[in-house]
Amino acid sequence: MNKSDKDQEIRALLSAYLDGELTQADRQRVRLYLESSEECRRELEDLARLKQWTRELQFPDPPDDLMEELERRLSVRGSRRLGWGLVVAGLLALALYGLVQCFARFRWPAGWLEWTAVLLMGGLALLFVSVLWQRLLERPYDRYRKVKR
Amino acid sequence: MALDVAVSDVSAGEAESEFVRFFRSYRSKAFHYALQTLGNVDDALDVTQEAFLRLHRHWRRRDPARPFAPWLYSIVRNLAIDLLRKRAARRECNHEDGPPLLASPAASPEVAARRSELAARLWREIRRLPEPQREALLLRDWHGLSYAEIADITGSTVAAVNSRIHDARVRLRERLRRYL
Repeated sequence: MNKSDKDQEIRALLSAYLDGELTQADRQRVRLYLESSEECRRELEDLARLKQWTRELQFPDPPDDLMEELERRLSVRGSRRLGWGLVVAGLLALALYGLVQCFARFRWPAGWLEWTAVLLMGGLALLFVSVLWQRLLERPYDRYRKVKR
Repeated sequence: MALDVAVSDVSAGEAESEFVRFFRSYRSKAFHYALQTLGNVDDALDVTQEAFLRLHRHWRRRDPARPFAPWLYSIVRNLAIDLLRKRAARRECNHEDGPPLLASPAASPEVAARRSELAARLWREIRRLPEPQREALLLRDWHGLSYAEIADITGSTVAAVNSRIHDARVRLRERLRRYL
């Protein structure tokens, strides 16, 4: 490999060297070459400066109120998931009760039906509240709120 | 940047609070990534919101062994690309003058003005880079992701990421030579 080829090869590794993405052997190779090539050292310094400048670019932050509103929406979705879980559990318990009553005489534990009703009603109530809550949260950001039907 | 938030087998409540923690840590990063891709604050907000809603929908099925940030970045990227395709044309950035550089506390007005000019020029040149190069460069230098994570997000290889980042920096070096 002549000097120019080696120079090209090492230059192609400079960014990865700067980013700490080279293997130990390649890192060592680049380090040794840098000791002998001032031009390469200068290029590395330029790349490092560009990297630093890019890192320092500032972009506007997302508005806090919108991010907080999104967080609330996400938490409402969590409670809705729990509501659906309760409703499904209640329906399954009710179906099981109906099925067993149809085909077999079985002595159900005391309070079975009451607990099933609690599951169902609790789930439905949670769903209702979460939908209502979400509507209230989204109301200020609803683009069509002022549109007359 | 520490990307891998360790997750054990957690209950639903813990999963929810874990999601909230992740949301708080990454909401700005997701927004900035969307903004850098779309160049428009309103679009970036829409994409950020949709990305977190999707992430939340699939949060319970996540793989705790894998870091979540590249997952979020991939969702943001796909949504942004979809939006750009729908519009069929890239919108220009809102901040035409370029974002300002972080000024050092003791910077004189002259230094601050020079840094502001440099920031505007740098951002203009970054926006002129081919899309794959710009994306890889910003994910590395601004978001601090590793080459492997960038390859994961962009559906590419580490070697391709390496070459895109290097090509991008070499181009910037040529175009910004007078500032160096």
